[in-house]
Amino acid sequence: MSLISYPRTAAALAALLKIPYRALLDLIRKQKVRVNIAEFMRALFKDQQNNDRFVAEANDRLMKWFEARRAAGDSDAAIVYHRSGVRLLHGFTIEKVSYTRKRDRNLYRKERSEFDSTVKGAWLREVARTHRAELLSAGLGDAQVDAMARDGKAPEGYQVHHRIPLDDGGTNAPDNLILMRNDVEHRAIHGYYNPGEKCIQQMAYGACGEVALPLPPRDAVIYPNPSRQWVAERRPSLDLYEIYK
Amino acid sequence: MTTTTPGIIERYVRLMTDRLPADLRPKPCDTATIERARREFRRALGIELPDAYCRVLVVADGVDHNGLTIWPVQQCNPPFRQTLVEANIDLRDSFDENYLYLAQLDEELYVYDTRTHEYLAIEFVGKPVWAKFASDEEMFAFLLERAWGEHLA
Repeated sequence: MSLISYPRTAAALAALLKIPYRALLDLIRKQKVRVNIAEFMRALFKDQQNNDRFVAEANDRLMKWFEARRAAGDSDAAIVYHRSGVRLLHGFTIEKVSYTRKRDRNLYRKERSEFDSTVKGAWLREVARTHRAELLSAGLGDAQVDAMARDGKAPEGYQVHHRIPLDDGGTNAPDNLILMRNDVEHRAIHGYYNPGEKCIQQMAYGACGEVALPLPPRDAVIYPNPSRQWVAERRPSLDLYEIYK
Repeated sequence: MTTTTPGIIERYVRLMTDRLPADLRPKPCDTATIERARREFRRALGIELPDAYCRVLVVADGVDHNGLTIWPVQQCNPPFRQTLVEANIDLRDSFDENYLYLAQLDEELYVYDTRTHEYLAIEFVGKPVWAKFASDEEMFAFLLERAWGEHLA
């Protein structure tokens, strides 16, 4: 009979992380240890808090993961964190973005402020008019697209996402926007334990760095879109744990 | 100190709720439900539920409009995926434990900073603060107007 361990407390997880990481992942893979993803990631980051290279190396490993996927002939996809489990966002790419946190905070605040007051509504009206077939194929109803065209508002359950964040060199230009389903997809793109997001949080305003960001399909105005196989697929949490060390 | 138009929060929430399909339209919360929500919020998060949030609940248990989510306090039915307490536990656990999360609009989070006792608009990516508010009422009036897209006199 094999024993299965379910470490839940911070102390138990900290003790678990004393095991060499590869061996630990092997225990998880063989289901001899079962961990909650949020608790495990929190404990892992605490364990690595003095490792200056931890997040940068995870960014590098994420890029390699994506390149290996392409080299193997697999379709594009990004691996992302979500509280309910890791997701593969099919159709996404992982791109190394030279990220500079805007030093001009007034410009940032102006762009952020203008987004809802003018840009968003105009973009949604335009997309409803020019991409009706794509919106319908993604699962929106005729009435929802008509309402978008009339009112310039996102349909229920959807939000507008900046492909390149405003906080970086991203702008409110139409080609930097995409309509995303709130949860899980939009929340997962901004998943707290995504290497890119962690890297950005560590950067000072005006600082630059290479960041591995999940970017939506270039020609899409809406995500997910099952008609193009652009969907979020559940993956074992191990796939993300392996990126991290 | 700033003031907002009396009843403005309720008016925005009513307009937004009426725009949802009938089967997705959240019901108003009665007094007992709001009191229960206050107790549960205090117990789970150690802080009082802001009055402006309760004013939303009087009209509808949750708002989903134009990318805006104000989480429900009772059971989580579509279009919502989390209750207010669930969203807070999740975001405090994984995003920043120093905030109370009161609404999300696209990539913007509207929060109460438990360290500085300020109401703030922040962004998911990098957590920059891009607006500060004098009160919970001012913040809710701002975010509701922003999601609705026009100022109600």
